[in-house]
Amino acid sequence: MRNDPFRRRRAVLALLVGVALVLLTASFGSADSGPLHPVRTVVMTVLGPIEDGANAVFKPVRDLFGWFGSTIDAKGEAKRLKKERNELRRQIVDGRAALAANDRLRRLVGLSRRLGLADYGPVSATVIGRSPTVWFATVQIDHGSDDGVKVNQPVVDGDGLVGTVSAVTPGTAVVTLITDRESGVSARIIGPGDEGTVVAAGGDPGMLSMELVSPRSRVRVGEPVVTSGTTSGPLASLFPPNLPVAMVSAVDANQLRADGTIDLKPLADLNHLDTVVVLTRSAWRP
Amino acid sequence: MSESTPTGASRWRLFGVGAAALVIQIAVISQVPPFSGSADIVPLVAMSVGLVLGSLRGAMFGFCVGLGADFLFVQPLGQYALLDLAVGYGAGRLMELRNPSGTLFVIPLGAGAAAFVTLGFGVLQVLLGGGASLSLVVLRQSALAILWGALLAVPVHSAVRRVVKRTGPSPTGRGTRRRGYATGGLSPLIPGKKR
Repeated sequence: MRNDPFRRRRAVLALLVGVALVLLTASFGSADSGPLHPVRTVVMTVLGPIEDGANAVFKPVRDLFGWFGSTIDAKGEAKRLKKERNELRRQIVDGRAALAANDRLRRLVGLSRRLGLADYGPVSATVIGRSPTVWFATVQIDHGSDDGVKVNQPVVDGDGLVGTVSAVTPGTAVVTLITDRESGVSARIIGPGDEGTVVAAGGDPGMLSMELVSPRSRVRVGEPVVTSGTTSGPLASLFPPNLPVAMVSAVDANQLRADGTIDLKPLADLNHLDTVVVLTRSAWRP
Repeated sequence: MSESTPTGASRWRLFGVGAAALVIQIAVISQVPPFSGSADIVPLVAMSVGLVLGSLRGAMFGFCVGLGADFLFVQPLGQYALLDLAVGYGAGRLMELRNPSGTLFVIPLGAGAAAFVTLGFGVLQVLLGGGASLSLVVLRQSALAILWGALLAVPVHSAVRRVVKRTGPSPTGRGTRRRGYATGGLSPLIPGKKR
């Protein structure tokens, strides 16, 4: 048998398999008890420190693998967070835009209720373009003659008078703002009740002046100016009465005495118009 | 086919290989996230020893290293020993009978060893009444184990072969001598005289 490698191999194999099966049968289901438990305990006691030492020795290797894993995870996480951040930014922008639109519409509805603008055939429109030069204070809106918009109809927003329609197409219209040099609005100062004409201020594109004010007027800074809404005669106003137009921003007594002019600041934020209302029915009814 | 009796040095060398495999498995492989829970180099080492040293010594090595794993991993004794014994023996027999060339053949062999051990554990659990439930997670883990077996087979085999190569002759007596016999070539004494 000693010289027969095949027999020797079979014998060794059978022995090993037998031992394995015996061990398996003896220890299966009794890891914490049974005849082999003391042996296992001894082996664990001997190998425990070796295991600890090996753990300590290989810690840098594990850390290295861990670093790679963490880096890959971090890259994925960064990508996900960037996407999430962009989505949140978009939501914030949308939310702010919605809030601003809501605010504008609330003011518009408030003004409409306060002044009874429902009788003037209001047509809501969105500003879709603005004149790129400082020489022409005009904006373009997305409603035109198909919606009943006609030339010379007044345009307001939630803060007050914006301008008048100066040109129309079937789908769009051009609104000349009250700060345009061509614009003129008959108006009244609420406090003293003096009347005049609101025109664009010379040399300051965003400001207004009120001309033809009585030199003896006791107007004060901060007093509101509204449309006078003249409803009869050849100079009948295009605008309904009492539409807020501007606020007195400066009163120069010498200038007032010399040419009856005071400085105004428009109530409507003409540089940030978004939603406006065109009053499509005439203020003047014979 | 005869296998030489291991010398003292070669025994120590094999002991070192087995111990290193167990230590690396416990301290690194089982604790590094990509491998943990699925990769197992112990059967791969048994397979490599079987490929290099032959079926008998592969089986003996597999039994010993498997028993060590059973002790260290605190599981029923003999389970790993039986499976790694079979892996070492099977790999050695394959080398003795087929003598595949190149190194890439260990890839399917590694996958096979991992699959055998994975399935073997399940079968033993069922046979010994431990109960084994087949779920998607188990299948995924098994597939990962086989994949890792295939991927780690080449580096493990290269390292093991390098260490144990000098512990004994090739199981097939690889080289010109055996091929000369197999193909009806010249006497084995002739290559020895070659200058």
